[in-house]
Amino acid sequence: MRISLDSVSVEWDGNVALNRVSLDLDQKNIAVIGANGSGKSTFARLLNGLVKPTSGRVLVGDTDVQADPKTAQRQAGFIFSNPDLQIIMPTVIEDVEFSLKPRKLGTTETSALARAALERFGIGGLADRRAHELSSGQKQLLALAAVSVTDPKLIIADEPTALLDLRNTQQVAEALFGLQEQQVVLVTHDLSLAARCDIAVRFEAGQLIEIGEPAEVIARYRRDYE
Amino acid sequence: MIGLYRSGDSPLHKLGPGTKLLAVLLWITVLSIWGNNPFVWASALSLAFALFMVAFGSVPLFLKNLWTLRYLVLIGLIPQLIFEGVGPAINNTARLVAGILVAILFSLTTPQSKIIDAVERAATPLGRLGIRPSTIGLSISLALRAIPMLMQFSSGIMESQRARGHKPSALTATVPLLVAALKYADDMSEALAARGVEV
Ligand SMILES: Nc1ncnc2c1ncn2[C@@H]1O[C@H](COP(=O)(O)OP(=O)(O)O)[C@@H](O)[C@H]1O
Ligand SMILES: [Mg+2]
Repeated sequence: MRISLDSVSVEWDGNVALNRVSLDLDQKNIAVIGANGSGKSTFARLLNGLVKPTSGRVLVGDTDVQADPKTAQRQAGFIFSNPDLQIIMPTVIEDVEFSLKPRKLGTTETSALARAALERFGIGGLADRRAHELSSGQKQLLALAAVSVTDPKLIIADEPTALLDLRNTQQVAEALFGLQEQQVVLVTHDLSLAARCDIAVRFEAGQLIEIGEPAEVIARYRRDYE
Repeated sequence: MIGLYRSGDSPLHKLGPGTKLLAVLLWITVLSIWGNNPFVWASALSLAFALFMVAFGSVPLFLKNLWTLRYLVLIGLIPQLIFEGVGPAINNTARLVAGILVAILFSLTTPQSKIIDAVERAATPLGRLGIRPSTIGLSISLALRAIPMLMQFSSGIMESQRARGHKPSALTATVPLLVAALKYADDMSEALAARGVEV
């Protein structure tokens, strides 16, 4: 899908979180990098309507996010840094099934779809485990399963590996980069993950300062802080 | 007690949640009316044990759940021993235990989502009063989900107090716990919105 921002600003009581950002992206895996407080999360949240622009227009696919927040939400799944906050039901399978509830499918179909989603992320064996007892990496895989089970076209992940060790980071990264059906917007401080994306976007103090080949964007980002 | 579900494929697991809920209510009613009779509570306890065996076939699991009731038994038993004598104290405690064991068995054999579905179905008439049954179900899920989170927050707060050389106290933990709980509520509502939940 095409993600396009047209002169988008976001302000919080006079503080500018994003300042007249315009961009056009349609790559499969999109990295978003930049210092803390630079506006990455604000950008990510704009894409599924969790944040509303103060001015300007956000289009994701054919959807004007502000005009049609429901569609915007439905076509984009969101993964937060803290997996504990995304788990709503007590067991792993129930949490995935919870996503399907609005569809009002039969019990067998719901549970088959949920199980298939868990299998896709390699955690089918954990279906009946208590969700809050999983490791952080497994919780993120669960979040991915829970979000992707409804077939969104886009997955937005806001620092999904921030709380993970190296091994869990690898697992979650493989899962994200392995997605066949979904485009991915990956906000991350892990520059090796950013480097694996097709394009990188860099924010600094609410400004979009660079879009381009990940290797080059990352190299300049490093240079600026050395 | 809810949220303890253990998977299995016994007849008790397969029974509909509504039927089971009714059976539990009936069980508790019978015990509260006739449970003082040693014959009734002894049969009830035996039946509870038999049902555990049907569901899980594990004596240790039965004993483990019985053991979790020890404080409840003590708290109930002591004043009754003092004020009512040995006989009534034993009768009352035994019927309480028989009642709770079956309630535990219900939550062990029924996934929380099924319990909530049953509650939502039972709450359908409330829809006419403008109360959405799915909102009731979601509230229960979230309340249950919040319990381990709050426990995690409070142990984290006490730990950090200890790490900074303070004796952890309920009083000084209250404000940070409140702040953490409010932040949690905020984050949770955002996570729900991101998953397309309408309240
Ligand atoms: N809900 C909010 N209320 C007030 N200010 C906010 C809010 N969300 C973000 N901000 C501010 O907007 C700026 C950008 O934040 P954010 O997009 O979260 O940055 P990043 O994700 O890059 O760390 C920061 O200065 C932050 O303090
Ligand atoms: Mg952020």
